[in-house]
Amino acid sequence: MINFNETNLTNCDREQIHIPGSIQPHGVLLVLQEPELTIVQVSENAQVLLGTSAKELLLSPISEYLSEVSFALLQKEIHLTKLFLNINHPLAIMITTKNGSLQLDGILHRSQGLLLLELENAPERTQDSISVFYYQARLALSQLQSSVGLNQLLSQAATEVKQLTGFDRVMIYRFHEDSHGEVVAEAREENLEPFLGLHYPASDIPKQARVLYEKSWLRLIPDATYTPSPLLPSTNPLTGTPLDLSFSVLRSVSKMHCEYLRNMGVRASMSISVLKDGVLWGLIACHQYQSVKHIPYEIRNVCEFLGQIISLQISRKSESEDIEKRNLTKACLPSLIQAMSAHIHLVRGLISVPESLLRLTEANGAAVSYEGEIQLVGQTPDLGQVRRLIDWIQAQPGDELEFHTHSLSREIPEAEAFKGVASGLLAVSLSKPHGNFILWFRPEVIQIVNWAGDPKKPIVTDSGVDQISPRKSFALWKESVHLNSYPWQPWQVNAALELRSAAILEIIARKVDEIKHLNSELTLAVKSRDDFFSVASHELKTPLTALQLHIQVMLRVSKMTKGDLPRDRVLPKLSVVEDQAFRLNQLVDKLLDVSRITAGKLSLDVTQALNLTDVIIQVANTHREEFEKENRELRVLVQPEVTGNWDPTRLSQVVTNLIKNSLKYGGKEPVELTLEANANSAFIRVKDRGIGIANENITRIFERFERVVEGHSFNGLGLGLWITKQLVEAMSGRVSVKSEIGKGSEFMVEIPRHLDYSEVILK
Amino acid sequence: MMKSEKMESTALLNKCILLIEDECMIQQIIVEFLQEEGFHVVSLSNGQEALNYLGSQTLYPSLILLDLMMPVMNGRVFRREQLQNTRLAEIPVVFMTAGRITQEDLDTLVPQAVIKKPIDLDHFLETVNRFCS
Repeated sequence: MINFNETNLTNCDREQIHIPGSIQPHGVLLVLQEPELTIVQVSENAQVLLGTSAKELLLSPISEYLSEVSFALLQKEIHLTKLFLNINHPLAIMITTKNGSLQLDGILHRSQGLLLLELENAPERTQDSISVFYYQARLALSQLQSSVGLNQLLSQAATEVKQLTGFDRVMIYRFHEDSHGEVVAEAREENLEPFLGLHYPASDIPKQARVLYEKSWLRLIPDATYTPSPLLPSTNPLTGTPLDLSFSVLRSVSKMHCEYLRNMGVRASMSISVLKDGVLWGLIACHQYQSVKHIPYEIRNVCEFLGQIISLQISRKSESEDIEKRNLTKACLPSLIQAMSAHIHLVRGLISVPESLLRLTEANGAAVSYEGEIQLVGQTPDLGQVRRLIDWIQAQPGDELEFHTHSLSREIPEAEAFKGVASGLLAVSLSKPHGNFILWFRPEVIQIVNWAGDPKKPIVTDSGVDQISPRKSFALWKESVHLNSYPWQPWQVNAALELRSAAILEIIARKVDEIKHLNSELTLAVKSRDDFFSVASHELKTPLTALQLHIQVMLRVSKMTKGDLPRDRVLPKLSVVEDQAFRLNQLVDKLLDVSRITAGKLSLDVTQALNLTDVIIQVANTHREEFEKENRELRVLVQPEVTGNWDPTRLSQVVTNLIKNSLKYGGKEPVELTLEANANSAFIRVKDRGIGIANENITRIFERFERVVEGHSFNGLGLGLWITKQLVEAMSGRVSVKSEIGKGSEFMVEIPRHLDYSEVILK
Repeated sequence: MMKSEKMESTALLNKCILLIEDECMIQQIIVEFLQEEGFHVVSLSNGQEALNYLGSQTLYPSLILLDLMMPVMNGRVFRREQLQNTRLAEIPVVFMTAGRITQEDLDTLVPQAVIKKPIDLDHFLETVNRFCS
């Protein structure tokens, strides 16, 4: 037996509420032993209700106190059914007492081998009241069945139960995964404060109460201020243990619970279990505030029946709502995948459809980290915090594809700083070693609770600090979910994983494309190198051929001539030989330059100040003959004394390359070579009126081995402009070209005059 | 008409050679050498010039010495044009090249002979004599 005085908030979970040893005093409990139906236990209040004392009743056969009809009815009921004996309930029991007869409602069930007969005052029943009641009951049923969606069903149920019972307030109370409760529907008198949306800690309805509620579907407390009536004797005479009252409607409830009700100002209460797949899902909780409230058996029965109907509907409706939610989740995937593949940049693709990204997991914020770039969507911690979160996830051992928590600060205390946006974290890895992740965030639950009442309204307490009230309970619950977000549902985690798979496929597809592209670039590079070798060998063989031919002819002449060699025949050939040897040398130098530049070993000689004007004039003079031979003009316009720290050989090479280029592609028109300078830079321009360069080829001409003119029509290695560009850039300058096809080209070289070469020792 | 043209095309001048070579140092020395050996040589520096020249002639050289890599019109293009022109197709052509000759070149351009650069003069003379004797 529990000592009521010891009951407090912490021992609630230990109280054995199914064996209270007492009942509520609005009815009488008679415990009968078969076959004689001897009264072996009786509630002490028998005297009050029946006019016969408990002691007197004890061990008498019940037949002594029943009318013949009632006894026959009782016996018939006992024989008809074995376990649940409620088919003809309530039994119309006529008790014969010293003061005459008494009409009572009798309810019969078995417990631990004994029959328990609970007697309550029968309400007045007329034919009319019965038909009105059944009409109401049927109406209630049809209303429930026609409701659409879970919320409407629950709110309709609250309304119907209120209508049937007349309670001041009827709430549908739902247990969450962590056993805490939330008021999800409510019907109440208008003057009452709404409780809809309030959350309560799990301790408000202790575990053993929830176990009991799964067995017995209805509890009734007509008067929460009652004094319990103990059973006599206190234990089951068959077993010697306290009698199990799990299925007794008169069962005395926990004193804690009555106190809880009284603190809420509740005088009478009733609760009906709502089960989903055999597990307690919630309660229909009814409150009466001012008055005692008796609910007759048949109304209780209909309410219990409604509870069962709701239980069935909930399974169905919440399932279909789950399916709907899952479908909504799934519906986000295609748009995300499409956005991903449509975008050049995978991450930007994802965040280009922020609603889908967030709806996928019902998150309030998200972050995508890919190849060192982090993009944020919605409500998230700041960039630095997200970066540290990613570092933390990366540092975790193992290679799970996903990580999720609804209490992030329990994992990382630092997260408390941003609990308002990220108490919940769901992360999937695209590539953990590279820090590539998609993250979703959920705020602390408290921040998004649907407040029905005024959350700022102070908690009213009449007396001591231990007193509990709905608001105080709510505060307790707030404490218990502090730093928690709503938990991630399995299908949301799955959706995140599906997005991960899609993203990885996309990444792989892109890598394949990249490799293909690289491969084709490589093939091109190999081809252009092969082309280069064939052009280079041709270029080398041409002077060699000339050399060899001249030498062979001279040899023949020498062999055929007796005496002195004819000078007029031999000398010009020797001169050609010298020229060709010089040309070969130049070619070899060019090739060596290419190999130096490619290897990054080009060096500049900048030890002396150089007069660029002289260099330009010198180069122009060197080529003047070639121009004259083709009947073309080379116009030279130079600013005098343009000096700077430059390498003379390399600069002359640059100018030579540009001049040769204009000789080759400049047609028969004049070429202009100009030199200008300002305080900072020198500008060399070579302008021709030749074939010009098409727009699409402008950048190609500076590449290695490129001759944009097709078909080998123009000789050369295709290296001149490339070398020019490399040399100019080595001097921290730049080379550019303006050109129009058919109208000619203008090459411009800009080189800074004063440069600290120690800083630019060549790449 | 066709027939008379064809007849005309076979009228090749004996010991008369057309040299098509862009590199003037090579051109000069070959011309000098062939003249020494008693040939009449016309030298031009690309395929287009050669087509223009041949188009203006009624009598044709007995041999064309053709460089392959040249500006304006290279040797391969010239040879294709020549083969398509019935009046010119039968003039024998000897390729002179520093580059590679592929099997495809041999199959489609069907040169009468190929001389690799750098040129060996004895071999060169022998080849020329084969077509001009």
